[in-house]
Amino acid sequence: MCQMTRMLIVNQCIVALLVFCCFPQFVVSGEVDAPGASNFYTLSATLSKGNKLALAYDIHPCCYLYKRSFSFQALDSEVIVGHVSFPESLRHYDEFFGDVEIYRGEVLITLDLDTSRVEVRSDSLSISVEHQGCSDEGVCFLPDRNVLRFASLPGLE
Amino acid sequence: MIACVVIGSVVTGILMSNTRTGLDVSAVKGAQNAQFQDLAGNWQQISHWDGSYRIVNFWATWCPPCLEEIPLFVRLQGEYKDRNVTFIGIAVDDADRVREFVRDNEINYPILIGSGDALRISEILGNKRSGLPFTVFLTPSGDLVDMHSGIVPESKVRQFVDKIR
Repeated sequence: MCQMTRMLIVNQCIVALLVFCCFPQFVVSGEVDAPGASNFYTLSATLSKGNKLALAYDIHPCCYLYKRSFSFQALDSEVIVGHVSFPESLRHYDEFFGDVEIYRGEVLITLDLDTSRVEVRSDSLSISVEHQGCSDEGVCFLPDRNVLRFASLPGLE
Repeated sequence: MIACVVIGSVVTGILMSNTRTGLDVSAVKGAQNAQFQDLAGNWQQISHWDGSYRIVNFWATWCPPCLEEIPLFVRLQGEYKDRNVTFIGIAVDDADRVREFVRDNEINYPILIGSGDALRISEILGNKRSGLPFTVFLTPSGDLVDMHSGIVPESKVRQFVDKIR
């Protein structure tokens, strides 16, 4: 490497260092690598022949979902969401809302679907799933709504 | 020559963005002209309070940490009423719930009501996590000088106000 090239690289490093020192990028408090509304959980859904819809949540360790915030609704079909089986929840104390029930980590929720009014078995199915959660460092995320679409009702009983 | 190019690029980038926050200055200014209804149903915007130091807080009634920090803002708004400081609350929420909360908690600063659009404005102002509460600190000319995700420590508000001469 010629001396000229080395000098240019050194110059660039000095410039970069000066810029870093003089104009530090702002870091929002508590935000380093913390997940946001779009990625603090994942949700997968499995529709089984037994008229059951299994919703598997995987919630980031920093965060939780409120049990009372869950709501489920069938869209554009004759399917009715029946009994919802929630796993055992955790207790959490909110200064304003008092004792509330929350979920952390992996959560499996099962919905019984009433298909007795469905006339055409090949109908598609859309289920709206809503929930709301917060992070432990005191940031809450807007109530989130997912619409799960299935191409057909798989041999519902 | 390469060093000159690097310096030029850096200077250009600095001029186009807020050096403290890294945000696009024109987008930040534009966001302050977004229209929200106040509790009386009148359309307002953050820039309506140009000329005063502003602490703009995005919040919601379904957000426990948001409710936890509001009494601090009420207290400090009373304390700073003669210091050209205005707190502005922008609720990402249902209007009726907001009105009830404001009435019950005697909030003494302007409250505007938005929904998803309010959250998008907060994102333009630096709310990378799209969470609440989120608070920005603005100069009288609308320059964004600080922001905070989560409950704002009282010391942070006081530092902002203490810089006002």
